Amino acid sequence: MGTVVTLEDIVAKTPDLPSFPAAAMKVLREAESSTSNASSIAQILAQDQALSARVLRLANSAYYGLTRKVSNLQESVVVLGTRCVRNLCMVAATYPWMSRSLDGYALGPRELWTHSFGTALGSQFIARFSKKCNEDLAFTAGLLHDIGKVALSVWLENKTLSVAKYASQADVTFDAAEKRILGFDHCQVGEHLAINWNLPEDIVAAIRWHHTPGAIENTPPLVDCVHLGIYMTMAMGLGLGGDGLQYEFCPDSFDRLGISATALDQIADEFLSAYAEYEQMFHELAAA
Amino acid sequence: MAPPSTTSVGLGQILVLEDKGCVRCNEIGSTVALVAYIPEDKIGGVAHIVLPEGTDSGHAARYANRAPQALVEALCGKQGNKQILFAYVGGSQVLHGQGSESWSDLGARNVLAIEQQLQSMDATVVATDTGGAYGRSLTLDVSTGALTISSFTRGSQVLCNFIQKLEAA
Repeated sequence: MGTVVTLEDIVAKTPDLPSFPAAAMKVLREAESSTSNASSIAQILAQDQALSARVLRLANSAYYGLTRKVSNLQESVVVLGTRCVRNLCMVAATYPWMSRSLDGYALGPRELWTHSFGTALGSQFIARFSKKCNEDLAFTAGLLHDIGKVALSVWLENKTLSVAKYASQADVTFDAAEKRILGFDHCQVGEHLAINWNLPEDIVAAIRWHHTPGAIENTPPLVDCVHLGIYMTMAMGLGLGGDGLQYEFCPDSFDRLGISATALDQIADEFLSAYAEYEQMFHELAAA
Repeated sequence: MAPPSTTSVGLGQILVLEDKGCVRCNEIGSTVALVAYIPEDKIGGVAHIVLPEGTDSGHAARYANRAPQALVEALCGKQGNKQILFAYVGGSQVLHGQGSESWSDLGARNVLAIEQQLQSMDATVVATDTGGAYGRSLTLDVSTGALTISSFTRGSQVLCNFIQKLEAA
């Protein structure tokens, strides 16, 4: 595989490129609409049987502690709320391809999922604490932030160790090394994919700038939340692949969101309790 | 001969094995894997510590100010007053880059808190591998006392052998 590859090549020539279910996309948009209700969300979900089944399984899990079993989609939206169902929908839609191995990033089975789900939860906790952006949107953006790796992985196969070593020796970040070697990094590929999928603009921005929040003018709080969600996930070693910890973190993100080191420890403590409970539950149910 | 069975220890957990088997701690970032071993009885355990301090007694293994004592109690619940040797691995630097100097990195704070706690316990530390901007994994083979660490870019190496350390002392 030559080194002259374009972003269009990545999307056009990558085998097994993941797709985002149309129903999940519609739910994502409908949940943000002021006219959405339980019935409209349920009708959209019902268009995709596999997705609906996964969402119902998640809704009936022990985590939510419902006193009786939810048997239909509309009821699940009424009981759990629109935003919660939207997040369940995102988890159900992405798990099948996020749980696969990514050889190009030296990520074994479930490792991208572990990292992405951890970042989703971390971003949500940061958003909740900072009160600077919608926490459910932060969850979705955190979950999807590394979709570029899914597409770029095959182009990096057998090169990961040399890219990681190059980054280390040249004292640059892994995304900078990707850019020098391939001409672009996984954030740019993710942005391209997200636009192709017609994801909302704020999520596209979070995917594009998640490692370099200072590079975008008037950094949106959502980008900072995802950046710090990644910090938390990496600090805890969740789903570290060949790129490991070879990224820079932007202290301005902490300042912009008004989060101190002490507060971050407190958030991390709460995150850890939630992560252990959620992650296993989502894994068991989504994998079923 | 079949390889020894391996059990993983999760974030904020303690795992102790006796006589045979391996304890594995995967993907150590800013967290620290504290290893304690009784060479005389081939009993070893790992605490996967996440934060410098905390008060939640239900999650003692999560905090550097509580985990060392909790690990010793987990070990000594299996045996009496024998010499315990310690090692710790991890505390990677995640926060680096321009402007990060003003932030106290979680990995460094975790390591410092563990050092202080072990000093206060007058513990014998035989090996450490901390810091750096890379993740690690660790495996303790309880039957041989060998502690192996690995990382993606640096490969795998035996950090120490607790039984040999005791014999050499």
